[in-house]
Amino acid sequence: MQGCIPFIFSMGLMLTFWGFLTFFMGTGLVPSPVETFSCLAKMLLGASLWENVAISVFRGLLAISTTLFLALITGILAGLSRKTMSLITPLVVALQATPPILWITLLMIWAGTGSTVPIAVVIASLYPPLFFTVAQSVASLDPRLFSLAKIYGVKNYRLLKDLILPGIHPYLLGGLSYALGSCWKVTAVAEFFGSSRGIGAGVYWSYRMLDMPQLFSWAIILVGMGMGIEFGLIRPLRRRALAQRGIDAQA
Amino acid sequence: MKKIRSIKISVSLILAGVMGIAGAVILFRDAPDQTLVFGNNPDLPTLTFYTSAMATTPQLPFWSAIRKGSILEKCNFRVVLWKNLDDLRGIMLAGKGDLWLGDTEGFARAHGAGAPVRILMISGWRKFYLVSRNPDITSISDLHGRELAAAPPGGPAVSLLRSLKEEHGKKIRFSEMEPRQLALMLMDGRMDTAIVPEPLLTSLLLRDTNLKIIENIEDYYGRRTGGLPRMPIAGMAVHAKTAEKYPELIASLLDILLYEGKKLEEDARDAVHALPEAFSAFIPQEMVTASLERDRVMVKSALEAEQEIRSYLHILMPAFFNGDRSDFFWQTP
Repeated sequence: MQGCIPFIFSMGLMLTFWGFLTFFMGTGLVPSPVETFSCLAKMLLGASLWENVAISVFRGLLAISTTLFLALITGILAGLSRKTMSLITPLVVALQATPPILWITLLMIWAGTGSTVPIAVVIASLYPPLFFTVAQSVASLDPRLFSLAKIYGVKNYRLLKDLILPGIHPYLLGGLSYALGSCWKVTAVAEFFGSSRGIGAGVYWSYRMLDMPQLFSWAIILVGMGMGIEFGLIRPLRRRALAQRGIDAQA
Repeated sequence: MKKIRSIKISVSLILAGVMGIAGAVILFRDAPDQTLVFGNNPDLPTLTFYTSAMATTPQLPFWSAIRKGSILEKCNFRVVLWKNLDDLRGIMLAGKGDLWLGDTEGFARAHGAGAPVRILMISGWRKFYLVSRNPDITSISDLHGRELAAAPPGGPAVSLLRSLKEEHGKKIRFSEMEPRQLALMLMDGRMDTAIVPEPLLTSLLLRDTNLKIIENIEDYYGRRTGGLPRMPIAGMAVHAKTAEKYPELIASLLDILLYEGKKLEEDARDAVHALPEAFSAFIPQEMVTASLERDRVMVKSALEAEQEIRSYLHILMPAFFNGDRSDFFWQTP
């Protein structure tokens, strides 16, 4: 029960602020919480909302799995070889410096609207931080362990399974928790511009039709799902990573 | 504590997994909205038509033909709605769909960028009006140094005024926005002058009696160019590959649309009921009917309107016809 107090306090504060905004700006621009929640209830009973949410979740999951796969392959290779790291770093830094809006624009021209835009934009935005997390955590592994493994003729597969992956695991969890948090937001932005389905597209249509209760309902869904990811996945993952690092440090 | 953490992670992953699988099924099934599928004859080809629920008049001949069934004797249709003009350009550049309803300038820009676009017909000629409740504004020339709101973003009226304005050094600061956003800003007094398309104009005039029509942009265009008071604003284009694959089919579609257009020139009110139910969420049918008072239906094949299209695009995109653009116009097989 005690754990709920901060949540109730924050929600109370937000609803009060929302009520003030409705009062001062009018229900045309800021619909009241009652109006919004009644619209949200209607949306929750329809199939369209669930379809859009499922589509966004699929795109996000596919994008983050692909990013993780790419970051693991290239990050491990770069972490094991200084030369590869120095060769690939400028490219990844350039990728990191490219704003998502540029990817969205280019992809809308190259691929048209659809799933390609949100998936590719998430990959382009999240690959650099995940790459650096993997590469740097592999580079920080004790080189004596690799020398020993070489002396005893340990096969590459076992090296990966028993040394590299367990060694980078806590750092990877930390990086992944950041990527999960960002993935959600980037997917929604990319869908807003470059897709006709998904949560971001739902926000776009509400904006286009100036349907403020629906727009606020989508906002609640987006924030609610973001909070769900934060409390259900990111925080537990981060705590697990911290605990793992603590165990490693003690060892 | 560790156990609770694991439960939280597992539940979140299971939920995300289930939603993700559902999303994949929905996307890969790729079933269009069933209300927007017309015809189910397996012996006929199915064409994908990208259109907008906001641009009603230019597609009235199409929907009239759908209701009568004449067009469905030739092929089946799967209708998909585009979001905005940028979305449409992306769709054309990616080569998605067989037929597109859109603006002539957009077709030309897409063609210029290498999209397989062949303009088929023109069906939107008089759309844009300058409205104001400011008594100081009596013509477009009074807009000098002012901010002018316009809808929709990327619409041809702004491009046209920009092009014509440069000739005379006028300085109008354009602020492009979505139609409903513009309507809201006009209604609550945050702006008093704007360029609005039909049928948004009709809806605004009904709601605000102080709002007056200052000028029709097509009349202004006619005066400035010494031509007819109309512009080949919008119409339909066909994918080059579809045109190549089904030349006779496209020719018959055009014939049907020209025939329907001719019939609707007299009175198009009845055809408004042919618009799909899904369109009513965007613009009520009564509003479309009311807008027909100013927004007349007229269909001309792109070849028939070639000179007008060339003059119009020469103002908007002076360099467009510098190269060989003969394939921009759909040719009868």
